[in-house]
Amino acid sequence: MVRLSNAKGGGAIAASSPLPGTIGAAPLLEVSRLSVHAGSNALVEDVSLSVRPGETLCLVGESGCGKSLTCMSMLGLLDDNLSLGGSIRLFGTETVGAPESVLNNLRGSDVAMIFQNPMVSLNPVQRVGAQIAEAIVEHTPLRGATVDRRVVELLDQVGIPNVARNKSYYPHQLSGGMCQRVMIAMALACKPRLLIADEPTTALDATIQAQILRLLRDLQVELGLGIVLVTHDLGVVAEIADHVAVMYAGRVVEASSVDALFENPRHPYTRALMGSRIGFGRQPGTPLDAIGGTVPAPAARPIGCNFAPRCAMASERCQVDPPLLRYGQHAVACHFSGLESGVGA
Amino acid sequence: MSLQFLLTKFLRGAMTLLLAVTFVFIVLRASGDPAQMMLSDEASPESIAAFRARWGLDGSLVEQYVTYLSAIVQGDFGDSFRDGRPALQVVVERIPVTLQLGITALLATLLLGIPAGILAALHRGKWIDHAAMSFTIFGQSVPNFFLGIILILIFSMTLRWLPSSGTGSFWHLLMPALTLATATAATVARFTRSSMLDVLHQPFMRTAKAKGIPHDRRVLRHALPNAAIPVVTVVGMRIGGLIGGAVTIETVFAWPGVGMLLVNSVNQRDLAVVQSVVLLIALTMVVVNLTVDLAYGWLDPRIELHNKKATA
Repeated sequence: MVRLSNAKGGGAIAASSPLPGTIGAAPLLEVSRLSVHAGSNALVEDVSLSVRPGETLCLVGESGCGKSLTCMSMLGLLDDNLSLGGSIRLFGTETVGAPESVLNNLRGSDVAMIFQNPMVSLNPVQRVGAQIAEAIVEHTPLRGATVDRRVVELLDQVGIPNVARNKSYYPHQLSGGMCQRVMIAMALACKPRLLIADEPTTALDATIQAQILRLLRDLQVELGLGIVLVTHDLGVVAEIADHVAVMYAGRVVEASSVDALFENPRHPYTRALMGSRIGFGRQPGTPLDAIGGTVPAPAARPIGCNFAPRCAMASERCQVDPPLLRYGQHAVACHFSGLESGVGA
Repeated sequence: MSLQFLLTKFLRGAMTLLLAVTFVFIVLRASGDPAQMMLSDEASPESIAAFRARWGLDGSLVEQYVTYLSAIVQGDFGDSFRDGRPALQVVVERIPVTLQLGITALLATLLLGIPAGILAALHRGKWIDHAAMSFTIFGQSVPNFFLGIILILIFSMTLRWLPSSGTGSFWHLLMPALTLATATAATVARFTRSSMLDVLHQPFMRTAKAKGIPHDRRVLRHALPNAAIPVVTVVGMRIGGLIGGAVTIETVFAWPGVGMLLVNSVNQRDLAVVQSVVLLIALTMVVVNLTVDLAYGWLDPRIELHNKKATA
């Protein structure tokens, strides 16, 4: 379930219902009014989201929109010079401002994370099997040969061939796709309930991407995982998401179920993103609709709507913070979101 | 470690030794006549000629060089002009004293430099970092003979706590070893700090954090083994500095080791001894470099195994 809160004012509002079968289950993750600041600059503002068991939430947006920062803050992985505001509850435990020991108990056990570039996210001087074993020893009472058996089981589960040989390899001896499978095996080592995946397929070949996404989907069904997946690829979103939060310049601008978003994107930014996609339906020779300009730097964000300087629909009204508009399960932060469909807020 | 790798390293080491020996041979003979130096100014031309004949200095330079090289290959390093004993024996009996100083200095280097660098990196920008970096600037900018003299002034002359010269006890060893270690420890601390800072910001450190590994174990198990690789290089290079530094430090503290022997022998144009000492220092450097190369393969699996990439 995704909630979207009014940009600089109102409270968070539920924007979609959970999947059938998970109704009533307590959320694994509840982020409300999260902000990340570097000094006086807000990098992420007023982000509210939640994930229930078995759900996949995708965070979508261009580079620099704050989606990775949002992810990192969920496990307290931000650099010390960034300050965190708002609330992040993992399984009901507040983690913003919580001591390291509380976070260390959650990290790698109930909540696991995989990263964008698997080749550099593994320790280059440790065998991959040992890196998986480390997580098991840290969070479970297993020791010795039992740990080894569990490592083999995990590597099998993520589809690594010839496990006996590959587990004693160093990361540089494996391909990028294999390294990402190792990362996933490591993430699953202590049977997490929530998996945070920060652009897990961005650094991989297209064919490997599809394999990794299918693997995540299968594991989710098998283990009932909640997944937060960061991506800038709308193809990935269509493939795997239940709910989507579109981020722009540090804020969530549109949130809804994946079907509603693709059927009826309401924020001009979401529409522009979809317009700039290369798809099968496109006539050869027609130019792509690139979005003019770039994401403003946090210090240079405009007053009012952050997207206004790049928005074709922008007018004087956009110098005021956009109101939160709800259309059933669909939430949008734009003055003009109702015009096309004729539905008012 | 492949056989070809070892063979190449050994051949390169042998070339280094040959170059060092040749260089010293030429420089020593170009810098003054040993016969003039050893005998008094009033020595008769006959006695000078006799001295030259006795020590094989009467042939042409090329003849002397060939004779010298073939003797070395047979394990004969010539005799000392001063007391007629084999030069090798004169040098070898000084080695234990120098080794004692050198190893103590190396230990002090590692025990001061590496922890200082790690602490500075972990507390970047805090007072501990500033203190450590001030120490390294001091250590690298003060010449070691000057530091030695200052320490003697303070601890021997003024406070009368430590002996200023000689060997025998731990207290004799303390000042020369610390003086020798200061500059090297400073360099090692700087390298350890920058190497640690680099490693601490690598993505795999974030992975370890996301796995729930506590801070201290992340530093010990993930950061240190990666940061050690450049540190080993600089420690290897600075061992050369320790040997070179020993020459001046042994003279300042009247430490009767190989360094002092070298200085005295150069002054007296005791060719065979100087050549043997230089050969010994060159050999030490070759062995240290080889050890560093072997240590890489052990510390960094990427160096040894890069040609065996899996095709999974």
